[in-house]
Amino acid sequence: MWVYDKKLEYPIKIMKPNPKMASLIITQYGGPDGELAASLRYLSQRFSMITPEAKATLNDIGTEELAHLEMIGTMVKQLTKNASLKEIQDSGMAPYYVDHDKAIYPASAAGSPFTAAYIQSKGDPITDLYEDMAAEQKARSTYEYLLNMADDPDVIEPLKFLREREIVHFQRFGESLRRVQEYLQNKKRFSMPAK
Amino acid sequence: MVINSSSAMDAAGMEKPCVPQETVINNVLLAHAYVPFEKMCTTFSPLSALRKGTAFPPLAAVYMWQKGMGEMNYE
Amino acid sequence: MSRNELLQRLTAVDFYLTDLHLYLNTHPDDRDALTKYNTLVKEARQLRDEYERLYGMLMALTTPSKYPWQWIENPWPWQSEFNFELAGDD
Repeated sequence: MWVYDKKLEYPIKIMKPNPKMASLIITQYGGPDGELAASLRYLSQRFSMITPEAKATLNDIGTEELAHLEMIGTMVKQLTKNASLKEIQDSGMAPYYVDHDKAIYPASAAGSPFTAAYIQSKGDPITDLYEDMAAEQKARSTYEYLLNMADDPDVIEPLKFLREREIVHFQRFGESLRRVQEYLQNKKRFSMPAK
Repeated sequence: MVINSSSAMDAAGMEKPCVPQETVINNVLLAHAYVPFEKMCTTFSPLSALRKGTAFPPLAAVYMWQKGMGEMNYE
Repeated sequence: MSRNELLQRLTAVDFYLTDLHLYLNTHPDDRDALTKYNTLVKEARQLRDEYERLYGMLMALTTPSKYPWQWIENPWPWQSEFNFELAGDD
């Protein structure tokens, strides 16, 4: 089950509104390589995992991704909070605004609503772990592209933090893969019929 | 798989420096990918860790990124 | 300690523990890492208890509340007033 810790994993204090940036960052909320996709993917795949290390890794990284989802929602909220209608119009955020005002809605930067088609839960733990490693790389790249678009340090620092987390998660999934591969190889070795 | 203690001594009784990862992977199979295991040596202080996004220095040192790298060609 | 300073220290220690936790998930036999974790968990507990005593609830299942019910109090973490500025440079 989940318990909510009433603080952010990393502090977010954005003083300058920027609806343009908000309309891009939303992609890490509801987009193909975003934090909602990540948490749903890992929290769904954990049911098929073998070995205690892999179960714990999927469970706990999935949980941390929810904390990241919260950070992204927070960033978008703070970036639009005091934006005027004119600023929204000039920024290109008007299409999102007419459907959602300044609310947080899971969609990509291009406006596609979130879909489970962004994730897979294939059952085979090897297959799932490779998908997870790929997901972390895609997220890292997305954060880099977002960072290329940002110039406010209050936005840059949390994005850098989130980018680094993806690299660490990749390493942990890679280590889990090693353990699962080793387990399956040993299992095969010990169940092979004696000559 | 053996994990060495971080205070291993070598033949001369000198303390070996801690290597923060596996450097050799044995018994590899085709069609399998292998990420080297990290090994904890030193860590950042909690506040540094928060700023950098990880407690582990070697994980902060890979995939170095600079703004504008996006303009490079991948060819 | 001021609220911002206390929250900054707790956020930092909790984050360090989170990263160490993920490491331990794939390295359950690393004694040094486990020792480090157990030491820091105590420091995190002290910081958390002090924050909750002075500035309000952080978790609902493990904390008593003053009157009236503190859990609902503003600000919530997504509000900028809740957050501290991460001080200094590296």
